[in-house]
Amino acid sequence: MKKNKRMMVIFLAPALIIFCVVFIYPVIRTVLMSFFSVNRPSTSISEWVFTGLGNFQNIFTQNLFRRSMLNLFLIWFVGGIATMLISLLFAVILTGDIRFKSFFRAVIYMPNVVSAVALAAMWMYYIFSERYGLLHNIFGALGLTGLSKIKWLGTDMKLWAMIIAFVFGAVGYYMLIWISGIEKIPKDLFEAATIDGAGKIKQFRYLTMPLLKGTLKMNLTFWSVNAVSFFVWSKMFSPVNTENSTVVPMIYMYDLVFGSKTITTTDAGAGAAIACVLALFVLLIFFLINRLIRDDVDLEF
Amino acid sequence: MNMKKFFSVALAATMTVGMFPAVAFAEDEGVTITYWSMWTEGEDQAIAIQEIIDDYEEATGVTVNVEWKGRDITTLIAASLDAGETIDLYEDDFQRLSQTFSDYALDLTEMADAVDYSSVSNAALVDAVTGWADGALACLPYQPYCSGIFYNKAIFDEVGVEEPTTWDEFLDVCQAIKDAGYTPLTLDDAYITLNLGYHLARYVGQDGVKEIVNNGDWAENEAVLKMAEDMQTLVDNGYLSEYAPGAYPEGENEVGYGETAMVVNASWVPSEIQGNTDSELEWGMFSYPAVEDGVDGTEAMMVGGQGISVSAGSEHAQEAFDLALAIVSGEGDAAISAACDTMPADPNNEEWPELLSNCRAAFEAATTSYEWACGIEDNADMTAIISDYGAQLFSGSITAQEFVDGLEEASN
Repeated sequence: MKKNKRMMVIFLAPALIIFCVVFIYPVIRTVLMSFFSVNRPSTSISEWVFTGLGNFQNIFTQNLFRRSMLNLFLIWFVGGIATMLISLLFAVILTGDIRFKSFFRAVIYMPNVVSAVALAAMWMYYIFSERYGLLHNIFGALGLTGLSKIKWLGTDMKLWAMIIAFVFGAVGYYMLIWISGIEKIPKDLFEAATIDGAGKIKQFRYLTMPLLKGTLKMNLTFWSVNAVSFFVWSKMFSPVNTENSTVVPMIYMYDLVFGSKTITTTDAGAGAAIACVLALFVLLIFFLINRLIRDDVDLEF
Repeated sequence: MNMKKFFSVALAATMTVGMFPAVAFAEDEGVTITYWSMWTEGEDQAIAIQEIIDDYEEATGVTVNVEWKGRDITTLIAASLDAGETIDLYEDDFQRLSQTFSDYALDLTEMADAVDYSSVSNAALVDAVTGWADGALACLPYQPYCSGIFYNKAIFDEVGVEEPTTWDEFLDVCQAIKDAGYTPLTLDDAYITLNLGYHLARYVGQDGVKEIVNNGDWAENEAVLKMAEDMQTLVDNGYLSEYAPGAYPEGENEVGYGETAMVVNASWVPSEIQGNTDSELEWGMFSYPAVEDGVDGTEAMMVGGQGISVSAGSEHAQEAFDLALAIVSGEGDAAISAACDTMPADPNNEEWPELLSNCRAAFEAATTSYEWACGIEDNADMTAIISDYGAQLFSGSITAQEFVDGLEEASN
């Protein structure tokens, strides 16, 4: 028994030490940093100046940060609804009796194996381009001149264009999770429902949906974490300067911590405060999801 | 016993002999300096700089350990130096080196004076560095750029117009180009603030622009409305591309495709457009036109460049400075200019790349230098908002007055 304990310590220690050094320590340091005036992340702790909640007050007075939070909320909420619905629809269709299921699953998942940089470039230059983009050409060919002249990458539409492109890239991933949830439901239940006279829509409403609560929770959690760390798409849609229409908190934090063309005085303390606000945002979402969607613990299948 | 002695002696002899090559190598090794570059391996700049390093190593015996960090050097340099990484010299945008990272840089003034650096450098760029870094020479600037209005000479020749120097002349040129069936001017979303900043700086000067953006005097200062009205004129008269502001680089590419005549940008743009569109245009360039009753005229120009700093903690600062000097002046500077189609930093290098030869007159006539976007990005919290309203103004969805009112409201 003693030997076993020693072995456990020996095997676990390296992983625990590495976890503490590369995860716990940065988290604690970031939280602490958010209450101090700190120029750079690597500035020695002896040079930190305590400011209390000053960094938090400061970021919330900044127009750009408030706009970035609004953009993040729209990406999470509107993009989330679109992604969940479309991916669920695909999952239901592709778990039914249709031909070439594997092929369609692979095609829909495909954007997940393509780099986000390549995907964003494709959407910007081949689909949204006002001159020769796919949407421009299709609407033009259909004689819908007004729609063909939409400036998808103009100030008013850029955020929505970015959300559309992001949702396209994300649907396949969430579809796979839905599929795994649906496939766990025993076929007998559906057979019994069919015998009882329930059609496909009723089966979905009264059987599939209630039994997918756990999967929905998982998908919403993954989506929230994914949305909060939104960065690459925003950088791609505004490659040179940070823009109001595409700014998200991670971009604002990056600019504050590392500087940009216009931010020459870096502020790691404010950056840490943004990181803490984002963490609180995610925690709040987890709390709401757990309150609103309760697992049916007595349900066994 | 004898065998043991034999092996002991043999082992000792082997070890002793084995030490000789190491000692000999150590004597030849000399000084090693570490150089973190902002270029990535294989880029034109990196190839040119590697050749300069090879020549430097051969001439001095110093070994240069170069690491091609790419543009991410901005995020790495401070943390690495704070962590005690040995970096003797490093490079980045010259303004960032002189402001954001100035406390990591050695003041090179004494070393520069000792080699008469002022005779091989551009005074405006060096003044900008010392101005930002409280009088210290925080970096040696190189690969400079100048800015203004870049145009397709073939269209100007076909239309028969001369380079304008005033805003009214510029509007006449636009009308003539439009009449000939071309789009006079294009614009990308990435350069909205540059266009607004340049025009506003002509009215109130760079310091005036900074006052407006920092104090929120958008409605109080009449020059803002004048500037916005001038921009609206471009839109209303059809002088600006119907796609403006385009998603970078779609707008500037219109010049490469021969559809549009002019673009407000900097001296990297001919090479960039040539690469994007496979075009071979003959480029012209003139300083941004002067406006009526404006504070600044065509003598004021936004200039900038990259820089090389020697780290304050370098144990081989002199060697690092010598290498930096070899890159930013003389033959090294000329080689980078030729390889990358960029302007030379050393005024003694008379040869300019053919692509930029027509920028030279305007650059040399400039006596006042502007910072990036002529100060309109001085208030970081407002930059994205200014760009947002600018995009609406340039796309014709708001009027000049709405532009002013919107910014006034946003800044208060």
